Amino acid sequence: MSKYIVRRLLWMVVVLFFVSIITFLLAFAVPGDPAKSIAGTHATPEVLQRIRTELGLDQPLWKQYGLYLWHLIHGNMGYSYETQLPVTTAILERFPATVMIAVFGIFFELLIGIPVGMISALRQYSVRDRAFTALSLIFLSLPGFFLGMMLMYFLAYQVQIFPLGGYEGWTAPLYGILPGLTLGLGGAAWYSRMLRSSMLDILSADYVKAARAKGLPERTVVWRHIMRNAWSPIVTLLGMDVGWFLGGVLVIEVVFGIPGIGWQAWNAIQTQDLPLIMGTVLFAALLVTVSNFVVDLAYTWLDPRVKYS
Amino acid sequence: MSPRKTRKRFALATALALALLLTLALAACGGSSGDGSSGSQSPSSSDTPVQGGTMSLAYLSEPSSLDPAVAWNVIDWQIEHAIYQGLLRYAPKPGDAGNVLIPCLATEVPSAQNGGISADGLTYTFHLRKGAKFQPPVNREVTAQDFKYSFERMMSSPRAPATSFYMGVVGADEFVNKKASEIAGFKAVDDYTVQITLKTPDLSFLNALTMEFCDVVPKEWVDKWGKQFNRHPLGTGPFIFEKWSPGREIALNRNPAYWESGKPYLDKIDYQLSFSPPTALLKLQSGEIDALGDGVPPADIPRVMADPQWKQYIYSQPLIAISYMFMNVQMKPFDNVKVRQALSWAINRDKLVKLQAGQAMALWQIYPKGMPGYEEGKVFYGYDPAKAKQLLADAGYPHGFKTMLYTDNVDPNPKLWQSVQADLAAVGVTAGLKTMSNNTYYSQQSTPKTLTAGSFGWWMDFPDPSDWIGPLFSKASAVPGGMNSSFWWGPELEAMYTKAQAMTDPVARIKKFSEMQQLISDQAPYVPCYQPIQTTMCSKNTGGFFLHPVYQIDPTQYWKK
Repeated sequence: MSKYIVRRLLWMVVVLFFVSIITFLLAFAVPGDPAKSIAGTHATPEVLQRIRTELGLDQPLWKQYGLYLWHLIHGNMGYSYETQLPVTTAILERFPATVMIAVFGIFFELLIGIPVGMISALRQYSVRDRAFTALSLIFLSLPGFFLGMMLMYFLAYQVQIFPLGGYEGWTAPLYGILPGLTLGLGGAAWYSRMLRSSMLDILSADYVKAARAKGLPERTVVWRHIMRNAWSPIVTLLGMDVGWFLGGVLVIEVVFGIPGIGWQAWNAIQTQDLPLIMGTVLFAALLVTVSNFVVDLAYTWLDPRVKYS
Repeated sequence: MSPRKTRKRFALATALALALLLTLALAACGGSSGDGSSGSQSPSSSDTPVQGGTMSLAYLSEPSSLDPAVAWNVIDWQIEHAIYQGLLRYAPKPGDAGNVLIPCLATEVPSAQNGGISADGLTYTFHLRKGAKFQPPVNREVTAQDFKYSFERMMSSPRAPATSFYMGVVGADEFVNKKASEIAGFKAVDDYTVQITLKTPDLSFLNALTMEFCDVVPKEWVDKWGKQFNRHPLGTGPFIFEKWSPGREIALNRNPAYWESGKPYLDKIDYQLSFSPPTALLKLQSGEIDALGDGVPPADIPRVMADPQWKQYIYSQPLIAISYMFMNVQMKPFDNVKVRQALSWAINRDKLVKLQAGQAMALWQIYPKGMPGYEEGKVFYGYDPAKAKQLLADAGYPHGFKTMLYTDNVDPNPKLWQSVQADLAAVGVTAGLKTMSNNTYYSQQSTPKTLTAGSFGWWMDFPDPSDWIGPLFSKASAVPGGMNSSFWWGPELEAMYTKAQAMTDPVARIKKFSEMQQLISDQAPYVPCYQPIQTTMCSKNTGGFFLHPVYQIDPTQYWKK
């Protein structure tokens, strides 16, 4: 097991290395001039040249990448071209807001998705099941910005229960509810469908029949025998969501005026702020690989049959 | 500066605006049709100012920096204007009256009459206001040395984007190229006298000097914060920087020791960041904020205009900015002046205005309305497809030709340029249309012999026509990285421009610039298309609200009722 963990960690480094190369090349393949983006349209060719020299943009590509990697190994992600802040600071400043909507998003996904999925599976083809199916389809197909605007309009503007967007830190969790709900409603649809189908597979299994036949109470059948086996796809989905949400969900951030890392990354792309693009992509890639890793480890705990060597 | 930095973010905001519109349609809260007339301009101008209160403004983007030497985005300048000051400023009035320079930290605007400008037009003398202090904790009187320090600091900053405006100062070249330790032409004669000597006379230098780049900053404070000065601004203005929560908020407090008696009215300005225009509009209508920094989302304008409760709080002004079609004279067939003239007759500007729900006005001249040199009522080329066809035939293209049009992907450009494409097709010109991301577009556009023709936008740096001729029509700007996208220039115009810049009589000088637009229009390197209109809204308890042609939103002049 420890061998497996070490191997996975090494693979993670390899993945991040390739992500960094691809991002670096892509950022350079886009035509355009970061110097012009910094200095604006009045900059003379001399000013642009001075900025390129300052940022090392006049060096050959391999040298620039090599230098970036060298600094990265030493824990220095560089400075944003646009704001001149250290990239690490820029990301960490924005990260708490992103974490807040991610936490609320996942909370609502599970809170809504799991009961709905269970009810749908246990009462297959009932009115409730059909209603949930229809609702799932609606929430799956509603774009996040539209759902977000609707929730905000009705629950913050018409009926003033929640604040009209914004982020006031972790001490004001009320600001996280509507964005979380927007993420959660869409996500819950996925979870409930996934759970429903995985439970339906299990419901007809022999060991479930056996459990029922020996007269176990329904609660025990559901929780001990069905759910225990139905969790894996949910955990997989959860692992993906954690990585994705923590990487910053741009649309939600923009609708609700939340200063998260998604928005920052988007601005960085607009201005070709290379260090900030690299930093955010690597950070998000790290989150995704780590959460996948955690999910894989969780399988061994959920299902003792899973063994890594 | 080009409008891109503020406008690019609206691409995303447009989707949100549509979402809001759909939501409202669903809400169907009983719509009255309304008369659609534009809001009154001064609901509160007759009221007397009141001291106190907080004004909140919502913006989508965050300033990249509040260091006046380097920051140049629209939001950067709007915030800087409350914190920093320079020698002069623009009169706090709407419309053309707002383009007039008035003294700020200087006691008067130098002119030939008051002796501030020497007879040869080369030397400008500014007398400083006594008793104006830097904000706490610096708390020290501003002297001429501070101006010299601030100017040289800006000119030597490796990222200063605007040094080109000030290269006319004697010794600036040597200083920037590190051959001199100071700028010889920028002198602190005594504590209260600044003297600036130029190489050649240039009346627009006063405008250049009034840009935020030349704001005065205290050396001890800059030294204290070093690289972080850009997040810890301190100047002489009516508001003191309090805090900057990244992505959330920038808060300013009233400067109790401000030199201008009775000003400012507000106790606090609260810039709320990261709010898209549709969200900001909801916040304004629910009373949480007082003004929309990025304006009313275009899709919502008809609705709020028709709302009797809100229409009086809507304010509009034409931005001193333009949208042109450039034609690259280095590339065929646009090397032929008849072809360029033909296309100048071919574009239906009124349709472009309609496509923007009236948030623009058709433009028939080189200068936009509001820019000195603009001639009221003058039309160089109207809309006349028959004339366009005739000129194309004269030019040797009786059946038109094939070409490519380019634009960036920032809303509403793709939509507008499809309309231009159709207009060209109507006169026989088959044009393909290619859109690119704006960063790519700006660098391609300033590369010689690359793009045949396409959209071009320009936003004034200061209200003087030299800001149009220099960057857009000069030889110096027809270079890689320059903004002369048609790469057209002429010796005759160069001579006129040089001559006008040397004139010291403001009236005669502007007349010369009007003559230049005749000459340019004859050569037709650009087709003027439209001038954007800015529309924003304030809350019901905002007093003294108006839009300024230069500062746009200026909370140093507003109050809370």
